[in-house]
Amino acid sequence: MDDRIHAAFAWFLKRLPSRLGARLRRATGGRFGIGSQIVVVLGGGVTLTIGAVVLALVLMRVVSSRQSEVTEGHMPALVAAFEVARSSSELVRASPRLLAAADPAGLKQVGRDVAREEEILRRWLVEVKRAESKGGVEGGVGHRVVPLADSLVESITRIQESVSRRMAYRDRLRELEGRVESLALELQLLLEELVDDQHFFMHTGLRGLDDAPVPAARRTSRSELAHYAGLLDFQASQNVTTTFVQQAMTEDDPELLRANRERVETAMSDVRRALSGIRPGIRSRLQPRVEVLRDLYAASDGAFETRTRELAEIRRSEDLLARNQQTTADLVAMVEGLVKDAEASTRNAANRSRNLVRLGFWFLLGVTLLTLVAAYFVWKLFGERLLARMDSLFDATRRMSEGDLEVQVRIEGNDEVTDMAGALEIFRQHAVEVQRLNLVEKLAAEVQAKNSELEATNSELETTLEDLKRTQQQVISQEKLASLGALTAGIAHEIRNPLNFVNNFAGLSSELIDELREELKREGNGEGEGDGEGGMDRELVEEILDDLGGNVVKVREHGERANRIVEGMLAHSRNEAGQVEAVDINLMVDEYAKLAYHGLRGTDSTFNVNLVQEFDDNAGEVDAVSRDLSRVFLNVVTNACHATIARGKEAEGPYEPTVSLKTESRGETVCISIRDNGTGIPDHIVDKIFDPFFTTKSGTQGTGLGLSISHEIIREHGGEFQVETEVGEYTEFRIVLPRKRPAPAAEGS
Amino acid sequence: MTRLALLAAAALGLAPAAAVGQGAQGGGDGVHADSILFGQSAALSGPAAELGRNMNLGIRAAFEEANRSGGIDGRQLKLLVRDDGYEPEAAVANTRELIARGVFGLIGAVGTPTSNAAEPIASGASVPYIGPFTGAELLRGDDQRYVVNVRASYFQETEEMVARLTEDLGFRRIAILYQDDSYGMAGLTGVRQALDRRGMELVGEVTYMRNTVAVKRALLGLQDSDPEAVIIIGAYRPAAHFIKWARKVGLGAVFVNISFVGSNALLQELGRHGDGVVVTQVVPFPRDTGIPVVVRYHAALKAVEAAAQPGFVSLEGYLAGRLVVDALRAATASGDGGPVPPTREAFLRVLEEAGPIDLGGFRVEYGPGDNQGSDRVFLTMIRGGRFAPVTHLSR
Repeated sequence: MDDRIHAAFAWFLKRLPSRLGARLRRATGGRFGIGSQIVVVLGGGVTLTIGAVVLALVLMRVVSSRQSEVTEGHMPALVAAFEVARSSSELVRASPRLLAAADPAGLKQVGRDVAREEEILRRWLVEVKRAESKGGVEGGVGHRVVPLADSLVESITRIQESVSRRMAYRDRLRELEGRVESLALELQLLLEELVDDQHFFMHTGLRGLDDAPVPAARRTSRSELAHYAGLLDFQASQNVTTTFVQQAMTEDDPELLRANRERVETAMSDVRRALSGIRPGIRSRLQPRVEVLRDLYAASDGAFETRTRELAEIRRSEDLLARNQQTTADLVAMVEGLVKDAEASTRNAANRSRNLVRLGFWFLLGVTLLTLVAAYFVWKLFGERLLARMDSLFDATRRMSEGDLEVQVRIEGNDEVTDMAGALEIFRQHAVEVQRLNLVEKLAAEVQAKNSELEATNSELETTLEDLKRTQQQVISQEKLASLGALTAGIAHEIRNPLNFVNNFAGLSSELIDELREELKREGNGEGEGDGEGGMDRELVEEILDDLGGNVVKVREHGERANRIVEGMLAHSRNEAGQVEAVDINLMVDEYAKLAYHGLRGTDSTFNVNLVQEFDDNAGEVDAVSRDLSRVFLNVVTNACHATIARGKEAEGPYEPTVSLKTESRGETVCISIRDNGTGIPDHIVDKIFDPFFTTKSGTQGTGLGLSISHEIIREHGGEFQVETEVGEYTEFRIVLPRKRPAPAAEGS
Repeated sequence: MTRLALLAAAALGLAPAAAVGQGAQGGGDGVHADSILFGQSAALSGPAAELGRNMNLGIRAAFEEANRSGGIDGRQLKLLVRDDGYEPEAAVANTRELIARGVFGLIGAVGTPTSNAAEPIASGASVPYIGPFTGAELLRGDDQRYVVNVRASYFQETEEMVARLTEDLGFRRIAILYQDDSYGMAGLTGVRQALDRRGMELVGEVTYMRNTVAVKRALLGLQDSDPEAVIIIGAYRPAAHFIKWARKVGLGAVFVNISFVGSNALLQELGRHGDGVVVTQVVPFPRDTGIPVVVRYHAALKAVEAAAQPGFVSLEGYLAGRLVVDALRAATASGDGGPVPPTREAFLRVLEEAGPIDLGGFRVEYGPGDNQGSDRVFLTMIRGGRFAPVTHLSR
């Protein structure tokens, strides 16, 4: 991983523009060290943060612009739309209000309200149009509302004018009504008194309080009767007229109004007819009132004309209202659309802004998560590994501080820690060097001290050496005595052995002689046994004679051997200095192996071992001091036998103690191997067995000099003395002797 | 009150009544630190204007007389006046406005239809309705405790008429002329009840059209029944017309008019034909200086209007004002630890519990279920061209 990172960094450096690359290489040392890692990680973090902040700022900017779009663009548009809707609904309500207005003051109030609402409407329409043109909407609802509002306002104005005229007519009618009523009342009261007066006169003939009574004939004259009838007719017709006029003023149907007028005219002609019967004095009082009444209903501003105009005005304003209602319906629908559009666009803008805010939230959350993940991976990738490496470095340092300079400092990667590790390793090596120097110095000092000490003890040692030499001499002579003892026992056996042979062969020979005599006798008898021929068996005789001859040879051999033993013993004791002579190796090995065997049997009758001989007939002779060399074989075979004894004591199960003797001619050298299947020699002592005085035997059984001396002897003979062993299996001593003894120069050492 | 405070009050939703009251400092019961406010809605214009003006004059005479003597425990009596032109609609509007201005009580209304419309508004607001110039039974119910009538009722007047005609003169033949409207019908009912009680019936019953002098056919209608007395429930002109023509045609009857006829106008209209004409009154004779309250009335009237002549209507107003002053003083003094500001309830309780109240020769008395102070009907007769008080009728 590190390698790849470093490789990537190197690749990256290579890819950079040469100047920048060079500068960067100079700054980083051309590797992705901790400094670079920190720079990269922190730089990455900072870049990420700055990027997030910048993006957040951009988002906030966008959100705020969206918000301001909402607050400055859509909200005013919405408010304007609401205001337009509100003021148009006010305007829409204006027409019914105008129609319902009770009096000119109320009408004026509605007019003022309309003017105010119109002003508001127009003001907000400007807003709407501005919002629309800002939104790139051409000929939008705001623009289409204007002509509708214009026509609405115009129709309101016309309705207002119509209602105003109608009110004027209504006022006029009310006035006429009042005048008709008071005129009717006046005429009624007047007629009541006139009728009362005429009635009383016709009864009593009295007209004034101070008058004298009129004679009865004049009370009921034609003229008085006509006057009375005229008053009564007038009273009735006048009542009918005023009633119809009053009715006319509330008549809703123009056709019925016309019919009503006919009735009024009829009743009026009745009034005029009645008037003609009334006495001129009274008539002149009534006549003007009748004309007034006529004017009240018949004049151009009279009851009928006014009522007709009022009805026409009512119809006109109803028409206007109907048209107005269509306009208002269109306007309301359009304004509703306007409000809906404004609401929708405001909602859209708000949604967009909300979505942006949500996006920003998720983005920042993502950046945060990314940062966390990146931090985790950076930690895993760099931090943890760095820590581990620094830990190991620290551990190495600590161990070194505790003195363990053998600690292996791991140098890996390619950064400052690597540098530190390298430095530490160099330090360690130096420290080792220093430690060695110190040791040498210390040793030198110690040696110096020891030297003086040695010098002091040297003389002592010399003395001791003298003693030791003396003791050694003693020990050697003891050893010699010991080997002599063993030798004596062997010799006794050796001598007894040939003697036994001699005796046995002698006895055997005498038996053979007897047999021979018998044969010879049988020759005479001719009897025989065992073969078909009778008489003496010539072959048998010959065989007996051969046996006899063999026996004699053997007797002689054994006799010579005994003689030789004695001579050898004599020589052994006689040849102190030792003379080099040619020695038959097979003979010497055989002889001294047997000596050893018999020596051991002499001391321990239970001892037994299987001696196997594998002699090379070409072994021949070697130049040797036979006295010394024989000691070697004696010694080694004795040791081998001891090993089998030891093994026999430990062995579980069947054990056949065996000592193999083997000779082998190797041209200029002869190899003699003595192998036993005894206990073997443990590894830890195998190197020491040739050391003087080393022994495994307890007490006085061994001197510890046997193998040491043997080794020395072989060395004196220029040979090699090797041992090969395995514990519990075997031990094999191999002695390689040169046939020619080397120059005696060696003896001098 | 500053404009700002008014705006603040309006903003806080306070009752506008509190803001528009003159010198309003306290509650809406008309009692302020230095004044007590009353309201009057009466006819100051139109055919009944004289009645309203004279009622107002009498009330002002009583209030200013009291104010000169320290008011009600230092509080000056104030009177807000509104003209209703004898129209019930205007009376209703005036009454509402006056109550909104926080008057302690309404006083001196004129006429039956106006009082009949205004009284329920006052009672609904628990505002006393004092001394209306009408004898209508409609204001004399035993559950109308906010109405404080001073005068006797029309029924009491007609009863007095019948009583005097039958008891003093022993008449059995009594006829009636009445105006063809509710006023005339009220009088007709009263007369009929009075006659019923005596087992009698009207011998003649004629009517005339209001606002005319067309009474001669009525006169012809009565000639055959030959009544000993004619009770007239009407206005002064037709009444005078009738009386003069009756005398012209030789109808030898006693003519008796009710108080609402307008005594002074009747006197003038009759001229030399007036002698012997009887008018019932509900207040003492205004020139009767033998009555203490009339003497005080003269002084108070002169103090208010030097040129004013004593009259039955202004005396009735004065008596109503005096009753208010006395009752308020009693209500103010009724506190245990000294004077307390009067309340409407205290005012009404004083009247209910006071027993007989002597206003100086004119006694009134109220009680639970009884809102009419005086039951007295006074007789006056025209003699020698002027009114004179009489106690009994004689031939």
